[in-house]
Amino acid sequence: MSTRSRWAGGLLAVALVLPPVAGVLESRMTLHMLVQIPLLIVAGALLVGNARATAGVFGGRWTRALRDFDPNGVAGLVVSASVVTTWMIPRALDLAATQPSVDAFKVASLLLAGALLRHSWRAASAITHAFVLGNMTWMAAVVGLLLRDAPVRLCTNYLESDQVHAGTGLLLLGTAIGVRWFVSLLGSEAQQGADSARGQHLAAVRDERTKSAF
Amino acid sequence: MSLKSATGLTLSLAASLSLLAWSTEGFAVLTTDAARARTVREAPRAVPAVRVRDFASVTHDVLDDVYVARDSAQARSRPRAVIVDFIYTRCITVCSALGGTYQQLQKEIIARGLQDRVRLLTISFDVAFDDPAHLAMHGRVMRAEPAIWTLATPLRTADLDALLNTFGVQVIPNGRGEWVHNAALHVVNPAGDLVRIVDIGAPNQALTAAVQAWEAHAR
Repeated sequence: MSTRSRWAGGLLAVALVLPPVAGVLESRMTLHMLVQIPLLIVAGALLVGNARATAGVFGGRWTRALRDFDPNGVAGLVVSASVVTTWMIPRALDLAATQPSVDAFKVASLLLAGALLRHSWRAASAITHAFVLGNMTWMAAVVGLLLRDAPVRLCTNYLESDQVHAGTGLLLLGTAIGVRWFVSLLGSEAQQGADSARGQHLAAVRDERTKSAF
Repeated sequence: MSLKSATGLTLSLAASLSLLAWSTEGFAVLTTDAARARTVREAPRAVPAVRVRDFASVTHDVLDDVYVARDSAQARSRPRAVIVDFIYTRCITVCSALGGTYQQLQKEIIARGLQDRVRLLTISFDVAFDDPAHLAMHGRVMRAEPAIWTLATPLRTADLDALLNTFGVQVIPNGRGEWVHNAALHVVNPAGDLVRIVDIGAPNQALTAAVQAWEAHAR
């Protein structure tokens, strides 16, 4: 599972940065923001493999280091969030589309963001999850609205119609991730509720038995 | 909190802040256009002396002041500041707006008697199509007064690229056989340095900056 996940992540990352593919993906703001960047994060997450199947997400030494330096996932999530935020800034997007060195940095930072996200999300508490996800989905939606409503082109590389589409997409993506997380949260609450109800039932049965023993 | 986790958190915050500071030039700008306006303001850039052909078929360096008003002794002795814009004459969208802005600027220059200090230069990036005849026609439509407002096209594509690069202008095709570009008013001082980039909606600000650039140079 882990090896397969790593292969998939590696192939996805390579496919996304192949010059012809990257050329097409970066030719439009919509593809750049809503296809290439999210998929690079996914590739980063896949590249580090599955934590449960192996000794750790990054392999032994890195996992130990991360566990020591980022025990509660906050540090990793802060870096991931700032990487994602950076590539929503029109100027950064312009630089990535025109300068190969910045583009290479973009790819590396997004792969790292994906990898850290996978590790740190597991380590983080529900409150940290709520804080990070609440902020990020909210920000994505607001940036989406701004892109839709901006009276001028914000990227010198992209057309205004493209900007509006990217805005709509970002609004939908932010909302979708937020809703998906909320639903999963409700699901796990319900599960926990069921677990604790069963726990109470078992305790009651045990009490009965204890009583009848006397 | 252990020392290691505190270190991790500190490092991650430092990395995040550096990243955001890098992409926004120290939390100052969000767009490429804002960044170039800021850069130029803080560090004026010399405009390369590329060869252009103007609306009267005269070939000269891009910033050569060829059409100084004959009655102006002062303008002949002292170079003028220039407000530069980029267009292509077949353009029917933002360039027409720019043309309107330039007409307004020309009117203002005459009304305030600034002909000796400020002139206007329109550069076409449509090197293949905008020959002197097309430039001249555009000038006539816009009622450009040659002593104030001249139009020109670089002779070679490489020269055009050098100019666009210096001014930070990016021309992209819109997929319908037309071009889109980040239009602005570029103020060049009498020494030939790009000193200010102003929004096309603020021609008076550009004029003020040009007069200031002229005065700074005259001193």
